Amino acid sequence: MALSICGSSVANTGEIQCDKSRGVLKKLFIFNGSIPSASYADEATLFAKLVENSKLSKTETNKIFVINEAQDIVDASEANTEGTLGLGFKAVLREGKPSYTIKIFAGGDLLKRLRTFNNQTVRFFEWDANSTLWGTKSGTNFVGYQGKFFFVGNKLATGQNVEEGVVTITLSILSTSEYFDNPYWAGLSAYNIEDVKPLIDVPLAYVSNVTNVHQISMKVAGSNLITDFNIYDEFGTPIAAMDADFSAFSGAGDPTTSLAITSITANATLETLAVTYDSTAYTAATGNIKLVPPTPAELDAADVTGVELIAVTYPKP
Amino acid sequence: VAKWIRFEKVTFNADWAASKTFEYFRDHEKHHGIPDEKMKEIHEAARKVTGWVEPQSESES
Repeated sequence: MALSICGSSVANTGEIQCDKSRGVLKKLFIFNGSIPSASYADEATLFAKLVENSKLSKTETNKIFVINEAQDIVDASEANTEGTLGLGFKAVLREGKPSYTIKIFAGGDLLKRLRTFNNQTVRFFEWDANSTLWGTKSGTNFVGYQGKFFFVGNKLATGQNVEEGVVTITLSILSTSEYFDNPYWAGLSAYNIEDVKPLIDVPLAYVSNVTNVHQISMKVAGSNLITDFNIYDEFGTPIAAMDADFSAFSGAGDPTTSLAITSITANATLETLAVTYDSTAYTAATGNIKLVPPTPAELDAADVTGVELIAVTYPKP
Repeated sequence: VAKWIRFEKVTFNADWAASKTFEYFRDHEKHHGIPDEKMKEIHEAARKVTGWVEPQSESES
């Protein structure tokens, strides 16, 4: 009988049938929060949580940021560092960190937003072509792998390759312990991953007023020199119907004194929201006015999908 | 939770409207260009949905 202490340091080598391994990448989700065990008790609960988190405001910890579908992927991992001995022995001294170069389609405006993540340490989930979601665990919470993203693109196309609208992501993974030794997966083939939605910022902005009736625009800030994209035609009327989810405040700095909104209507002439504040409270108000819109989840419930309205604070005219 | 009443494209704060006299409500929201009789209906509806009870005057209490 050989003398061995392997039993305390290694695992058995049997394999269960249909053991999972990562398939071709389809999507990445930047997710710096955590999903508690109760929220992955079954596949339906987990998928509902993913959808819910994608519709959170970007200010929320558990927000999921959706990256467009991968069109190309190259394994750019660092090679293992190897060492040799003079008589021919060769061994791996240090494992290289995994890294990928991934191409997605994204326009110049989206690229600008993606580049806000450049070189920031974030966590992310992988979604592969087998409809399997990959991440790791921290305690009993399901979390993403630690990594750094770097987005480049929007260079002049050369006409030699598919280059126009192609954004290249360099994804560098920080922890092989998380990525190779402690990956966890969930098979979600019964669900449509497109239900996990990216949102676009739509800042509210003060346009004009007649005393206490203020015109507020809803435009996507973009690179179009001539005009920003106004979502009024698409969503003006349903957003104006969501008065109950708006709130307003007055006061110095970041206002905190409640300012009653008495009515909201969609102004088809100016393509704005016409917000009427209580005239007595408005007259008494000083400093700034802050208009807080419905949350992305509230908007989504009213079929105003894919947008996050951003609150506006402006000096009382 | 605040209650709201929708008339055509205008959504009114029913809690606020119910707490005001009809005349004050009508004058405050006149910029919407809604006829007085419709404004009266909206004001009455606001009081109905919010369960508004007219405060008793001092002589009644």
